[in-house]
Amino acid sequence: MSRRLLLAVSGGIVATDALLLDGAGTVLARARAGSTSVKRIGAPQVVAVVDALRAKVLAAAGEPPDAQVHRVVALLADIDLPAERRDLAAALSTQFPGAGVTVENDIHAVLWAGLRRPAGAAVYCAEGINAIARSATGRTFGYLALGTISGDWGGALSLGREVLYAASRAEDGRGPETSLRFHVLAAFRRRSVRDVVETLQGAEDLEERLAGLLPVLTAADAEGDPVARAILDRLAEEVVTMTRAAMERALVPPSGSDIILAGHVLTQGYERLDNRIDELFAERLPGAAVARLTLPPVAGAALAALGAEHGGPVGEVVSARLQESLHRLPEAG
Amino acid sequence: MTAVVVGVDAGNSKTDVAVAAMDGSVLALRQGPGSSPDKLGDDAAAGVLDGVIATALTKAGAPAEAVASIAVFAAGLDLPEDAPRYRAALERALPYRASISTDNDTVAALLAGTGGDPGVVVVCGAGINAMLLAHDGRRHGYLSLGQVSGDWGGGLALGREVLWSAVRAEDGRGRATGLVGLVLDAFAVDSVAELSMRIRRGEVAEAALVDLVPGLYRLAGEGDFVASRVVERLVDEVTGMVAALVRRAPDLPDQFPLVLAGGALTHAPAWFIEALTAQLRSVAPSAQVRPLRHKPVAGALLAALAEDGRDGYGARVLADTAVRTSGR
Repeated sequence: MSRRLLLAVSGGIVATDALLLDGAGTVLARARAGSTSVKRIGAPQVVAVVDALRAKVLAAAGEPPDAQVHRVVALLADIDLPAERRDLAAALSTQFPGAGVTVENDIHAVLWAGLRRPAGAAVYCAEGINAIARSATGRTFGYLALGTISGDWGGALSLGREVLYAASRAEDGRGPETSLRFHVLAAFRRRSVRDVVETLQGAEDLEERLAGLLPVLTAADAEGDPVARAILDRLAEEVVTMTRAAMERALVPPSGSDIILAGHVLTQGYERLDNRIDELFAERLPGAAVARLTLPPVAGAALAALGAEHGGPVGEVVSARLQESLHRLPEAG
Repeated sequence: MTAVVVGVDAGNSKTDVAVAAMDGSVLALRQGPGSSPDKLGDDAAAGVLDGVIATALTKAGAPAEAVASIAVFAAGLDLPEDAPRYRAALERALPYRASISTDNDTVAALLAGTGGDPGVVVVCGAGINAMLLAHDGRRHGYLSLGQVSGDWGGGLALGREVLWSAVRAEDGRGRATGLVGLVLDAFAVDSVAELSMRIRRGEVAEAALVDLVPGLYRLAGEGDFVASRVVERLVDEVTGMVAALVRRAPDLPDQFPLVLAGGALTHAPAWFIEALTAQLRSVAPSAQVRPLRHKPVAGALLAALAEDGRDGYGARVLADTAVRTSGR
């Protein structure tokens, strides 16, 4: 019997990574493409990008272009609603006849990449924020993560909005003075916050500009600015609150569980935020082991694919084989 | 032929047009569909406005040649370049030889509230803004573009806050609150998350969240903790907006009018207005706090008369508009 081929895809709003691996966990090839956000490019185009990634990794692995792929796991940003997941899985199944297809939100990649034990939780904080908990029996609880309308606060986008909110109010007298105001002026090379906000109206790259204000926030916080501190303290609270509520819903006891923090907001290495989060976890969820994710999310998608093959989280041997073979491959262009 | 002036208050959901003689007596009031240039685009908004003005003039029995000036106050004219751009569009679209002026609709509420005297208006409709008219005729207001310009507390922001709190109460991130039941009843959904999904799918307009405001007040009045916190924040916010404006113009006269406008304030329960008034006294002790009694279109008429050099008819315009509004 020939070896089983698994395609693991981790898709973001801007870039998408794919791995081709065998059933034992050895990575055979990797490739990279652009956005696979259904919100940005639509489901048919997402299917086309995944298909192109298949062609790339099969060629790189020396397989024929029509080689049977046995399993496709696509963990993608912006897959938020059950219907979006079902529709995309159906479309991919048509494109990959005979393969088992799984489509999930990208938070699952973090869960699979980070958890060493069956039970635990993961928080992903990049442009948006989400958390998910998984019990030893496989029960999961995650959030809708649609933004403010689904009760969220705290991704880089909303932090950027908070920065402009505070800077605007410092300038027009509604709010307390804050050094965020002057950091914002420097970042945009403008002389008033009002001018910055007017310029941003209708800007096509508004979201990128807002998310890009994270260094402004940490810089003001490092100076001890109370307004910036309040925002980052609230983020620490939010990370712990989301984790705790998800673990309660999924019936995961804190003691002996892994909590994985991922996404650039939480892994940027800003010490005061990291310490504050660790303190709060120790206080509210004692006994849980908190770690920051070091593996790339696509390794999480690969571990998810292997988990589906093996019927549960994979052991140390398979995980080590995956990481070792991934390191041997050249970076995907 | 007697000359007339036209005042316009152009909102997102309706447009009020009033026609007055040069002595300030109001000849006609007409209401038409929304004509915010921000929402419809300049040319489409101007087209809607053209129709409503024409019917108002017919009702007033005034021919097109009689129109001396038109003052248009429209929602969405927020940036400095917006008003002149829309004025140019109106000059192209409207068939009158009148002088045309354009400004943000908050100004119309300010003029209707103070009759053109120095004072302050807070408008809390779908959005929120406040504006001060100083002795020297200068106006001070806020950019009012939403969260990024430092705003919080319009009807839509309050509705979003209700939804945000209700989702979190439901999924365990937040404290239990009666706001959950409010959302379920108001939108006939089985879970708050279902409403989030419907908004995301475009099946429910996010703007409809403004309808949650009366229920928010009711629950706060009943002592619901989360609802009370939101409403207390609104009191603080309105007070803070007024305080910052008053600091910029310290020479406001004693007893200056402090006018509360917009549905989220004019339809607020009495206990809320009392609490707000008490808090406002702490930052503006001599102000006369009162609700907006006249439609903003009355302020637009005042501006149209002033445009033509006619001042001093404020009282008549306001009184006449009030009579016509109540008589409709």
